[in-house]
Amino acid sequence: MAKILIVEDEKSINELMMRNLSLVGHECDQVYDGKNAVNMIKNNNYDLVLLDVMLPFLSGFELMKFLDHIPVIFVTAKDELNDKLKGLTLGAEDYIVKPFEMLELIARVGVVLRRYKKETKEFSLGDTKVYHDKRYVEYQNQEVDLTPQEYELLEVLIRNQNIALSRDKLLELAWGFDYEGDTRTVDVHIQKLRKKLGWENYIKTINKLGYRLEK
Amino acid sequence: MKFWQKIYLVTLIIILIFLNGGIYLVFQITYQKNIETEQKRAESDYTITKNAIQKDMQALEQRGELNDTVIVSLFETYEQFYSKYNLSFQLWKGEQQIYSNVADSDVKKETPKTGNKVEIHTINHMKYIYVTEEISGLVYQYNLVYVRPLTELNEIWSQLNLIFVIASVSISVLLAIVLFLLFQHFTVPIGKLSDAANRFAEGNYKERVHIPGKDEIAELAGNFNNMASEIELKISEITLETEKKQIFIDNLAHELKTPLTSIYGYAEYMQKAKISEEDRNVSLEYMMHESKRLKNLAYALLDLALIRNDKIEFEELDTSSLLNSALRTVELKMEEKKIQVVKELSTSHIKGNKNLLESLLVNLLMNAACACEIGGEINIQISGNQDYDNRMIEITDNGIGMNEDELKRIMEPFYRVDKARSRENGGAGLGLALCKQIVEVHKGHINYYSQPKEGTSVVVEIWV
Repeated sequence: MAKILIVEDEKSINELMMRNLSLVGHECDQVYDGKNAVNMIKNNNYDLVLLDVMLPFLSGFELMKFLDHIPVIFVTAKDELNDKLKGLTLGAEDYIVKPFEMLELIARVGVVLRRYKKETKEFSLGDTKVYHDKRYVEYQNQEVDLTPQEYELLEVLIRNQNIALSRDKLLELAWGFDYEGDTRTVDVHIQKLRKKLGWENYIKTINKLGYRLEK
Repeated sequence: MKFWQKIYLVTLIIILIFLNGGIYLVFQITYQKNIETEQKRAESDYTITKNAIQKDMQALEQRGELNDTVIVSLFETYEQFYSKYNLSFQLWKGEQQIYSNVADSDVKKETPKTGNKVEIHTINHMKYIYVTEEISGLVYQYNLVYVRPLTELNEIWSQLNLIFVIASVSISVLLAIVLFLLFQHFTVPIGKLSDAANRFAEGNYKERVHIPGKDEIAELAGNFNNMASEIELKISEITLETEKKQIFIDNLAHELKTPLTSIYGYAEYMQKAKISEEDRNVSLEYMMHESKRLKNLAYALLDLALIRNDKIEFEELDTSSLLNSALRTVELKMEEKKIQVVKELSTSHIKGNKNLLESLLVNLLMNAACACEIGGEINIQISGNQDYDNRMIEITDNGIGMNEDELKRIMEPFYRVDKARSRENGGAGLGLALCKQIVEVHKGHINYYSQPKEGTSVVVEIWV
C-alpha cells in the first residue's frame, strides 16, 4: 500500500485512476492542475506520482523539475516516440498511453513501487500473513509450505486484489507468456491456496470472469 | 567540354578562317592586278620597240641590205639602250634563233609560238614576261621576243608574303587569347547562377543571385530571384500549414482518447472490481457523460469536414425565425442561468445557408450563455444595409470576458479558455473553429472584442 498523487485535469480519468488504485490498496490524492500539484508535493510525502503531460498552466514535462527523488509515471494521449523519449529522458520511470486498461495501470504502478522498494512488506488477510520480501507465508502463525508456482499465484492475487482475473490472465501473469498448458492448472492451484491459507471465503469465484481475492 | 569553350573554339576558328582567307584573297587579287599591269606595260613597251625595229628592218630590206650580220649589229645598238631597263631580246628567223641577249638562266626552252602574244613564265623561281610577235612587212618570218624579269614584283611579293605570315600568326594568337578571356568573363554570371540554383536546391531558401546589367543573363538572374522568393514563401506557408495540421491531430487524438479511456475504464471497473452500488452509479454517470462528449465531438468534426467539401446552397431566410430556431436550442441553458435575451432585428431577411447559419448562432449564443453569470444579459443585433448585400450579426454578453492572449487563440481548433468549464458542458472545443468556417463560406469575417470581467462581443459580417 503506497501513497500516490494523481495529477490529471480530466476529472473522469482522475477519478477512474483513483478508484482502481484504491481497490488494490493504495492511498490516493487527487489534483487537477500543475499549481496544486506542486503544493501537494511540497506538503506531503508521496511514494509515486501519476502525471498527465497535457496540463493547464504547467505542462507535465515542466513539472518534472519539482519531482526529484519521487518516481513518476507519465499518463498521456500522445503516442509519439518523441514524447515517450522526452518523458523517459527527463527521468520518468514509465510512460503509459491512453487508453489503458486497469490491470496495466496497476501493474506498472506496482513495478515502479517495487523498484523503489516502496511496496509494503507484508499482507494480512484472515489468518494468513504474507511477507513479500522474505517470500514467507504464515497461516495461524505456522509457516505454510507453498510451491514456487503457488507463491507466484498468491502474489498475483494480492497485487490485483479486488479485481476479477480471468483464468487466462492468471495463467499469463503467474505462469508467464510462454506457458502452453491448460487453464485447469489455475483451478487446481486456486483450490490449493484456498485450502492452505484458509481463504475459501476470500478467493471468490466470479461467474464467467474468473477469480477475485477480496479484501 | 564547357559551353563557353565550345562557342569560343567555334568562333575563333571561324574568325581565323575568314580573316586569313580574306587577307589571302586580297593578296591574290592585288597580285593578279599587278601582273596584269606589268603585262600591259610590257606590251606597250614592246610595241614601241618593235615598231622601231620593224621600221629599221623594213628600210634595210628595201635597200636590199638585210642580212643576219646586219640584223645582229642593229640589235646590238638597241641592246645598249635597252639593257639599262633590264630588257632582253631574241630574234627568230623561222625556227632559227639569230640573235639573243637573254641570259641562259632566263631562257625558256621552247621556240616561241605565235599563238600567245604575252606569256608569263616562271624559270628558277623568278617570273618573266615574254612578249612575242612577228615583224611584219618582211619577206621572211621574223619573230621578235622580248623578255623582262619581274624582279621588283618578285621582291616585293616575297617580302609581303613573309609579312603576311607573321602578321597572320600573331593576330591569330592574340585573337585567341583575347577571345578566350572575353568569353570566360561573359560566362561567369552563368556559373554564379548555376551555383546559386544548387545551393537553393540544397535547402538554402534565402539564396539569391546578384548580376548587374540589363542583358538576358541579368534578366534570367532577376527571374531566378523572383522564383526563389516565391518558393521560399510557399515553403514557409506549407511548413506552417503542416505544423497546424499536426497540432490539430494531436489535439484531436487527445479529445478522442480521453473519453474512450473513461468509458472503457469504468465499464471494466464495473465488471471486474468489487464495488458498491454507489460506485456503480458514479461509474455509469461518467460513462454517459463521456459518451455524450464523444458524440458532440463527432458531430462537430463532421460539420467541419462537410463544410470544406460540400457545395453550399444559399437561400433567403426570415431573420426572425432563424434566430428563434437557434434560441430554442439554447433555451435550457438560458433558463438555467436566468439569462435575459434582448433582440434587435432591423432586417427582415438574411441570405445564407439555413443549417450553417443556425449552427453559427447556436454556437455563439451557447458561448455567450456559458460566459455569463447567473442573471446575465445577452444582446443580439441583426442588421443590414438594404443597398448592399451585407448583413451584420452582433452578439454581446456581459459575462466573464477574455484577455488579449486568449482572444487571439479562441478560433483555434480545440482551444478553450477554461477547460474545466468547457468539459462540464461536454464541449469539444471546436465551436468557434466551426463558426469561422461557416462565416468564410458566407464570404464574410468574424471579429471578437472583449474585456475581462466586462463581457464579450462577437461581430459577424457576411456578404452573400
